[in-house]
Amino acid sequence: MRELESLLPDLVPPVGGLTRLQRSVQAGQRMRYPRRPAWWSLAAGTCALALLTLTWLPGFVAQHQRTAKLTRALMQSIAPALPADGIRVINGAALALPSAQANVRIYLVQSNPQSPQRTP
Amino acid sequence: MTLRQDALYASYRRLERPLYNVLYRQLWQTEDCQDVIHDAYVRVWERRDKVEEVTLDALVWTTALNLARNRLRWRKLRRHEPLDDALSAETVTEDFLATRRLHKALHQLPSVSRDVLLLAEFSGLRGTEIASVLGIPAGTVASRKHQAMERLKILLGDNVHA
Repeated sequence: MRELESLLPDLVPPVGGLTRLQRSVQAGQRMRYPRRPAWWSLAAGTCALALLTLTWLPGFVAQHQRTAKLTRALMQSIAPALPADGIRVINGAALALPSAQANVRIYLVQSNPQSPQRTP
Repeated sequence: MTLRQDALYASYRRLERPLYNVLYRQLWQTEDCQDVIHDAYVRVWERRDKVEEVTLDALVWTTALNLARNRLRWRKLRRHEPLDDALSAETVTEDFLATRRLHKALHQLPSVSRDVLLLAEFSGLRGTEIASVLGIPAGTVASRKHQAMERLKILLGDNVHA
């Protein structure tokens, strides 16, 4: 006999609670142990990664080649043309300028101030 | 140390009714009580690798009471306080106003004292087990229950026939 029986009568819970719990437990079991084995998802992931790489790699290589080609062209365009029979410049560049006299050659010489000067 | 399904279901059969009676006097809403009981068992089942069958019932009680407290906190934030209208017609001989009075009186008790009172009434747990479930000193269970009952009698006046 409970002390507060008249005040707190014994209530009967609605039916179906255990069935609901059993359903949840079964659903949880299925989630925890999926039918497909773990290696399947690993293989699927690897395939997807390989496919992505194969799709992306040619584009990347082509882009890299284009960039290298452009860089080379730019370097060639800005590199100083060395006079074939003239002076040799170390740590700098020389540009042959037009001369009015046949026995006089004029060069515009630009030294590179960031490199140490060397005597040729 | 893995909890077996049949042990879980046996515990559910054992505790569903006392859990419902205790939780109903806290939440006053049938569906909320069902949800809390269900969620408590699901949570315990999710941690089944770490649960021993000897402590299963105590763990379910602790989990369910914590979930009920969370739900009450959520209701306070939402300013939402449901009370089953169907209770008086279906399961309780007292009228709705008496139930409402009891609801208010229990609400005025300190939460731990209310828990002690309800667990002592419905759970079938011993004093030390109640103390363990609520995380309070074992020596205070009897005094808290006595204080809660006295306070409840004062709040309800002549309605108590203890």
